[in-house]
Amino acid sequence: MTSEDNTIWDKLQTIPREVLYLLMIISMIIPLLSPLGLPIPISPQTRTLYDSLDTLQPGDVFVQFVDYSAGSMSFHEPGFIAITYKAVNKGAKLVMLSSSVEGPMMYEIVINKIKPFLDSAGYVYGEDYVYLGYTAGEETALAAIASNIRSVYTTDQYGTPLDDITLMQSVNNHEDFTMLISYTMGSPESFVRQFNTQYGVTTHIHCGEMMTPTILPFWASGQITGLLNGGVGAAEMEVLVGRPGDAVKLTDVYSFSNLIVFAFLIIGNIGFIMKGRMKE
Amino acid sequence: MSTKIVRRTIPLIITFIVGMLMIGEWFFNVASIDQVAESVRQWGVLVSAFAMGLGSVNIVIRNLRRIEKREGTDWLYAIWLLIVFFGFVGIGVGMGSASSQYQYIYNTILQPLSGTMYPATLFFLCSAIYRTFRIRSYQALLFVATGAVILVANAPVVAATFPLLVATKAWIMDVELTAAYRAILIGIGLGTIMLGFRVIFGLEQTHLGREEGD
Amino acid sequence: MISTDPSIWIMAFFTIAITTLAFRDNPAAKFAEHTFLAAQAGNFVVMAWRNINQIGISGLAKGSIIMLIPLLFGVALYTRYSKRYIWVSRYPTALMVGIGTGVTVRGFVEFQFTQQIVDTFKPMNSFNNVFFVVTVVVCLVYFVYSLTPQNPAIAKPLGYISTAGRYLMMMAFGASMANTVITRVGQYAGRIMFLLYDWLGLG
Repeated sequence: MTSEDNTIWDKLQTIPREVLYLLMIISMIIPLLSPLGLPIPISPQTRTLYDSLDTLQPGDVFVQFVDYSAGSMSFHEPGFIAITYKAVNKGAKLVMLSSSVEGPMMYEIVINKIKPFLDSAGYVYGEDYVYLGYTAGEETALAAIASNIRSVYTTDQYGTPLDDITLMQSVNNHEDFTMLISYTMGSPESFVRQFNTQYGVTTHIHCGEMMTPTILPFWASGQITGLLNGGVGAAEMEVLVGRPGDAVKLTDVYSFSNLIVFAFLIIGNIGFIMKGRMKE
Repeated sequence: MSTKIVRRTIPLIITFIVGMLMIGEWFFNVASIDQVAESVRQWGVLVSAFAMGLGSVNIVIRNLRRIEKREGTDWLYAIWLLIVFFGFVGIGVGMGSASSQYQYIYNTILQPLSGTMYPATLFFLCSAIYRTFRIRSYQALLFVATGAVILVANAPVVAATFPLLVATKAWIMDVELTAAYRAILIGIGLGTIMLGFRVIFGLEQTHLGREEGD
Repeated sequence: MISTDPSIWIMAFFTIAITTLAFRDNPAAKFAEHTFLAAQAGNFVVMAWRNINQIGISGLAKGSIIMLIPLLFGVALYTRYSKRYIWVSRYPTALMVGIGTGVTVRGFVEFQFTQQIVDTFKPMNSFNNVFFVVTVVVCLVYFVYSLTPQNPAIAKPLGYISTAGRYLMMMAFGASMANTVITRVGQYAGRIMFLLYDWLGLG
């Protein structure tokens, strides 16, 4: 390499990736050890979800698709906890199920975290909430659940026949669902197609931020009533229900990590632009 | 019966019949169609469950071959892979997926692995952003500038200091991005419907595999 | 206080091992990768078995002979590993593809066309609404590949509109890229939280 190729502008474009990775990791560690506690503005998408949950009446059936995986647990779990807390406060009955293969294990982890407020609200498994487990088939399974839940579920996750479960004796298909939400990193559109488009069931989605661009047009048209935008949305929901938790801590991470990525973007381009000007 | 009819035509007819049944159920409110469609959907769910095992069988076959070849240290990893695989299957099927034993191995082994594997792509993403997102044109400038605004506006420490950035981000997401993606979705929708009907009417046969098998 | 739970240490090991994959390939990362592949494949089989048992085998045991059909179809899927009988696997594949395609396509017109187009008709009484409608139309023009008018009086403006559509889409893709970064940051931060709080006992 000649001295012409080794200017500061070249160095700016060739920072070793190990340095970048370490900076990313450090940018996450600092805010988690020393939270900033900054205010979180509430987006209209989260507000519509919260307002919709506010319309739940005691005895309404709120269906929750626990479709997230370990990879997105960091924001889906806090969102699930906040929303379930709100639904329980409104006295809604909870029917939980999964169309994603890691869903059952995610449920087993999160149930321990929501059990305290389920118990203090007097919720009993089988009467007020139930978990049906996983069903294969993706959108085919969703269509089957919408038309007849017993065509894909004969027992709950623990082997109890549906007809022996008090709550499920009055839940057969979409007509019995007051509203539903899917916590997914997969295909949120399939839920909207099978439940809202065909039967008009109020549908909410909690997806990762990277899915939000493709889902926003459906929220704008009203096909999706409430939309939680990944970790940011989960933090907003935690604030709205008055239970700041892990998602609020995540927003502090965004403060640092997003700026690090922004810095990478700018530094790389400064080097590129100045190198180009030098050649001129 | 001709080989081609049994091996190709009848599967295409099956695709057509069940596809049209699903579409007919949507548009016609006839109890008998609904009943048949419900049963067929149940079959679809059951067959999908069988399909989930296909990848696993593939993994077992490939790793048995690696053990057979004994190249370098590869075969040792293959042995470990098969031990873990059959361990999970044995405990999960034998004791049930709701058992505390299965939950323990899931939480200890699969959950941290699954929870790190996809998020770790963050590092590759950051490296790609740093090395390849160069402003070589006005389009690239728009791309980088919009991305930068969204990144920075999602940092609460900046959002609290520059509320104008938050408003800009909201405008970009709620107006510009929604409109552009709506157009993209309409375009994708056209393509999906065309492809869907081509599959149902047998004009698209890629799902049946190569013709040499006939 | 650092954790003394062996399972927490195993989880921490796997988390760090997979992270090191981003830096360079190493035996620990390879070990973790193989473990992940095996565990994921095993989990798939376990979940699949539950469904097969619940819907198919239990149904058959209760006297529903017709469940033999999907059960046989399901088993037939595995003939794809036989060079001689691979064609048999086309039957269950055809069934799944037909159902999946029908179920998806049937709602598409209303889901991704009608309702989207109806919502695009906004009252043109604000800058945002005008910009919104213009953006949708301009971006749609970009996708009209088959229209190549010979008359330059039409072709040239159409070209400009199409270019404007491309610029607007690049803005949307930039925002999308940023959202992808934010998602991955949020996801990985969860692992850092585990390492700091559950493993090292900090905070």
